[in-house]
Amino acid sequence: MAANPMQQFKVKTIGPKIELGSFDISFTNSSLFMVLVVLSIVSFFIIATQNKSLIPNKLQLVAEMIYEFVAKMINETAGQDARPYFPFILSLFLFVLFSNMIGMIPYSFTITSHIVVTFALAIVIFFGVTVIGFLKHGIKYLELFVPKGVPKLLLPLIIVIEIISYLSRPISLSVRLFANMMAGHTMLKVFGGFVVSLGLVGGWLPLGFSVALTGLEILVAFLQAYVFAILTCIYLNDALHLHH
Amino acid sequence: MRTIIFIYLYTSAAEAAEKAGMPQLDPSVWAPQIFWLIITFGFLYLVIWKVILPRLSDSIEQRNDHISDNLDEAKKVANEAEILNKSYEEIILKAKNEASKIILNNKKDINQKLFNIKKETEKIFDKKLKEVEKDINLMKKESITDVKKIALDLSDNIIFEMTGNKIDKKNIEDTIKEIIKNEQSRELN
Repeated sequence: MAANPMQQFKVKTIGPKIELGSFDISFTNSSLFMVLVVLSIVSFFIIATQNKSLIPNKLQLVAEMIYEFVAKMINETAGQDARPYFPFILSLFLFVLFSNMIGMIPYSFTITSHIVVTFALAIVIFFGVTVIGFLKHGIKYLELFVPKGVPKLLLPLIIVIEIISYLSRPISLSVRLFANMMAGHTMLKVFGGFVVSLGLVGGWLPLGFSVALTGLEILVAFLQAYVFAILTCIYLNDALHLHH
Repeated sequence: MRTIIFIYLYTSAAEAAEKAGMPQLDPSVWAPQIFWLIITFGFLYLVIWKVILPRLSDSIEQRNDHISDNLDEAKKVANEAEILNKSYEEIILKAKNEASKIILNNKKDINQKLFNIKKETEKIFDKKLKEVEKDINLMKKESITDVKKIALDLSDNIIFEMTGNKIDKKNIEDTIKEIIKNEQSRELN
């Protein structure tokens, strides 16, 4: 079983090849897990809110805790004005969280370990936030690149740095998530391979590592979803309130 | 030209991906993933926005309403209790004031009465004292006349026994009067 640890990230087409114009839109294992993620989120929340009661049952409590967790996060970082974007950020957080968590199941596929997925999400956030900023502040939104209280001499340099940092937001946002998920899963696979190759004699040490790493990766899975959502809130805050 | 560059980039990226062994960098898997991401995430967003969030916030708001209603009621009851407590305290204060007033008045009355009784008794005492003094004076006077008479009789008898003669009573009387006078003046001194 000396499989390539990168093999797990391979995208395989399921069923017939579908093409839309010149684009290949075949259903793949990645698409399958996207559907699974969405279905599990939706079914969890539908079941949890099935019989709404004044005193919630366990599922309802968990659902409400997630709701309040995200609501609090948005309120604290982006304020009351970010209320209309609550559904989007909640969807984003849940999508990333469930993708990461379902990816922790052995032999499953981790959607967020693909840069194209995380980058697509990040670029949507980037353009969305930029559009919101311009709609709200007009051309004055460009003041975001001119921090207050900076000496005039340094201003050109600062503006360039600010623009670069603004433009690199989608890259840093997407690479952070993708790299974390890929690195974690690769490590797990490598140690899993060691367990098999060292066999009954020496396989116990890497097995212990695997167990510890699994725990760590579950933490990372949650943390990265949280970071992804909170950074989105921070970008949104920049767009809603110029000069924080 | 542009397409050539694109193809070149495409193939070089694919080659790099192949070399590094990262399937993520294989551009042929990008399009289907983006397409399905849009569909699934769009569906998720719609469901969360239109179905899940209203249901969740409904039950949360209902609970918050219920809690705030209960809190309001509790506040109302607490206010009422406070008002009752205040009126109760007022009543107690009033009663205390009245009681102290009554006590004060009674004290005054009693003191007045005691004073009156004292005065009356003093008056009676004075009266009695005067009467007694009068009696004593009368008795004194009477005793003096008695003493005079006794002295007169006694001296008359003594003289008669001794001499067998009767002396003029008037003479004896004058002597006795003088002696008494002398005695009285000595008493005064």
